[in-house]
Amino acid sequence: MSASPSFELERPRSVEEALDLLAAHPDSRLLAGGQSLVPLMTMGLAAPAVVVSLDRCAGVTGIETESDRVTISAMVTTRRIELDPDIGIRIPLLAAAAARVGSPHVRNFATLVGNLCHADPGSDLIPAAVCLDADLEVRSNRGRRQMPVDELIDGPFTTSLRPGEMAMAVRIPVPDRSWRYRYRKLVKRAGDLALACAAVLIRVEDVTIVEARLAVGGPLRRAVRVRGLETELRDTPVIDAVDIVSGGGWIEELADGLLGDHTAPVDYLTVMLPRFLAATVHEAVMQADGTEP
Amino acid sequence: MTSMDVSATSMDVSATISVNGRSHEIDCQPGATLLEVLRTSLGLTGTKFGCGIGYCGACTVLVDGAAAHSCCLLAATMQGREITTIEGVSGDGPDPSLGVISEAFLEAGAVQCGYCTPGFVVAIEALLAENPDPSEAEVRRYLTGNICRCSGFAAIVRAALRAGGRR
Repeated sequence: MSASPSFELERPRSVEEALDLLAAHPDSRLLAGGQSLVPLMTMGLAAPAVVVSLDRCAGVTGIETESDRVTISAMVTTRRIELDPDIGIRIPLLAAAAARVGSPHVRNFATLVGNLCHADPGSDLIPAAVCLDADLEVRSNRGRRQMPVDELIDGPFTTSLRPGEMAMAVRIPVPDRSWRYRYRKLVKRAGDLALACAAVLIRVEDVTIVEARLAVGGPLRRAVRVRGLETELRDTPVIDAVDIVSGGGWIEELADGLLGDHTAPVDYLTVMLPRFLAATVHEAVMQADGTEP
Repeated sequence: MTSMDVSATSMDVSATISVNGRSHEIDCQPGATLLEVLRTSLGLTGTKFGCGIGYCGACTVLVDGAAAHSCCLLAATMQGREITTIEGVSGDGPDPSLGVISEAFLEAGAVQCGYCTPGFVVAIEALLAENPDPSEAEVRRYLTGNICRCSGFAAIVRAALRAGGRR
């Protein structure tokens, strides 16, 4: 039951020290909240030679608030995001998705950045981050770069991060108050990873949708924006939106990526997902001013 | 619990961890979880091993007052944090061996096989610390992190509400 038969544990005190350790040990993994990596090691699904824990690393626990964006550092927990009053008001979609991660026990340690980099298809936060056009700040001991979270995930549990790189923080542009939002999650049991989830931001003027951002995750190789459908919804009367989304023509956009299994086969997913996303869009539209419908 | 070796080897790490107000010097493997150290090194067997992957909550402890799955935390990373186990939340009720929440479990008949009980009691301790008189919906939402394999949830929720009314 021991988490891993043997690995070396490093607990750097600074980001520079952490980056040097990652550079020196190609077979190393960063440990943030540990809520995914520790169980993976327990199950023998991950066996890094070196684990670099950020538990006492300086400079990775901040939430930086600017007028047009919020920057959330590597060790900020999902529980903190869920309960942060400023995030709750300015980026309520993120707070709503964070509140659906696992259980309070998990959220007390699980981090936003760690969740993104773990790249679980059932993640709550990847669809939310992709919907919000969030960027990831990446560092190595050779330099820095920034990339959209949408370009981070290659597939299940794999990212485009290169050896020696560390995801430092997520930068999230604050949507202005005219955006309505909804995060919706389908699970078999409370606390499960998402069987399906959807993050929606939508702007309505009068009775017409002027802009929509739709992200779907769960039974997919990676959470995706449904960009064809976003275009189709533009300048559409609100009253037609649910029919368009539930019509499901857009599912072909995702068809390659659908991951069916014995409990939710592809035939079921192709029927369920259009209705699920339509319900999410409906709930977002019905929500007038940032309050839960 | 299955066999495991948390005894000293050359790969060991040392840490000082604080459990129920007492400081302990521990030597353990880098991969030793907090749960293993509590049970095996410190003899605090009230915290149970259930699933081992952060799902069932039998291993729930408080870390700086917050509920946590001790099977998903590396013991060596707990330096500087205050850990509270089921042994540390007992003793504040009319029966000195039991806490208010454990008393409420007895009164509500919320114990069947009892294996999940310590985890639930500790989780409810965390819930009531942040929300002293929760609604039934709040109790149910909070206890997402704990599973009763006997499926005795209704009585457990009643026990939590009973304990909440008394704080």
